[in-house]
Amino acid sequence: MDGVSDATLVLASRRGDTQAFAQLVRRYRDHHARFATRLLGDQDDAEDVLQSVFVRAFKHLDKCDDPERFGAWLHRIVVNECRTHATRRGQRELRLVRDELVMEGLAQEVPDGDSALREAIDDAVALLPLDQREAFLMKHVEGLDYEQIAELTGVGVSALKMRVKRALERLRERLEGVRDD
Amino acid sequence: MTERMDTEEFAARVAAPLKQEVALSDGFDARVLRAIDALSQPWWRRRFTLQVNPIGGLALAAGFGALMALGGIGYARTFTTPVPIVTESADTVHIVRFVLADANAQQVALVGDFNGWSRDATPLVRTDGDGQWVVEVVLAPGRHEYAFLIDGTQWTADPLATTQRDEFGQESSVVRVGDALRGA
Repeated sequence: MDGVSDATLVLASRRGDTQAFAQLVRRYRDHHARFATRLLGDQDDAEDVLQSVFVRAFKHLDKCDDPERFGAWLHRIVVNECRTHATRRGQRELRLVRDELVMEGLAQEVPDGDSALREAIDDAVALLPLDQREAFLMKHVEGLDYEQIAELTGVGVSALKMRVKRALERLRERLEGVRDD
Repeated sequence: MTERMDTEEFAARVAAPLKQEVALSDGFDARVLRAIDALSQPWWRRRFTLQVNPIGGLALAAGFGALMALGGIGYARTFTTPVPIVTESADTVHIVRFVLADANAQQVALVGDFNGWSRDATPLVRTDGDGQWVVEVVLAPGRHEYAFLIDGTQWTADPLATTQRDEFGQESSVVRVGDALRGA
């Protein structure tokens, strides 16, 4: 079924063919796993969200108006589910993370090495406000252009550019002094 | 790492490690597809589950025991290690005890068609000292497929039960509840 179009698989899935939907899951899961994991900062959370995304997508396949563009439709569900999950998880955890980082002295130089740099980047990204983190990841990690991000998020291009700009400013502040060998 | 970098260069440097692919845990596809399979069943064939922890299960069992004594409702306990089921009636409540021995596990969850293959719904509780993980669940009569998810990633069939390999090549286990009642 590898060469079969999304539209064909969507139509078959609507008729109850779960094998066709399994192919759609295999086609899109890995790409969205990266985005969800980076946005939520936790792979377990990302997997739970993705499971919910695919179940929701299957349940509402009749609302996918253009089966040829199933990927874009699914991507919107991913974005919405991630936002819902992140919001539900709430600000309490974020404050805990922030407090821990303050205690550890994030502004101090971290030890040498790729893992330390990677950890510092992960921490700095995790501390971005959700809207800025989402925009930064879509633009610079997923490689989407602003028009695509606007379509996915429902946010205007100007506002998205501002979010990415602010995200980069914050990241630069937080990563100042981190060794990049 | 911010010195002397222009914005695009800085963004690319930060994004580079984040572009690394994320490998989903074993069994992700199977969990999704099984949840969808469950969704595809007509509502009258869907299973519903009352989840109980071991203490709650005992309390529930005790409660039903009292009801049985008073009014003829029966309950049966099924272990994933096959154990003969007690005499049952149409009102029997089946409490199934799932057990996994794994002294190295940090957490174990029960995933199955009865909980939508959710890895959060039915965690097992570690018993003191012996490395055993246990949970008791009330199940409807019939055939149920399940597996254990160890530390959130490792999909494991029950070594004490009948296993089967599904269309995704994933091995899972089968427990039959109330066979005597169903004549299976």
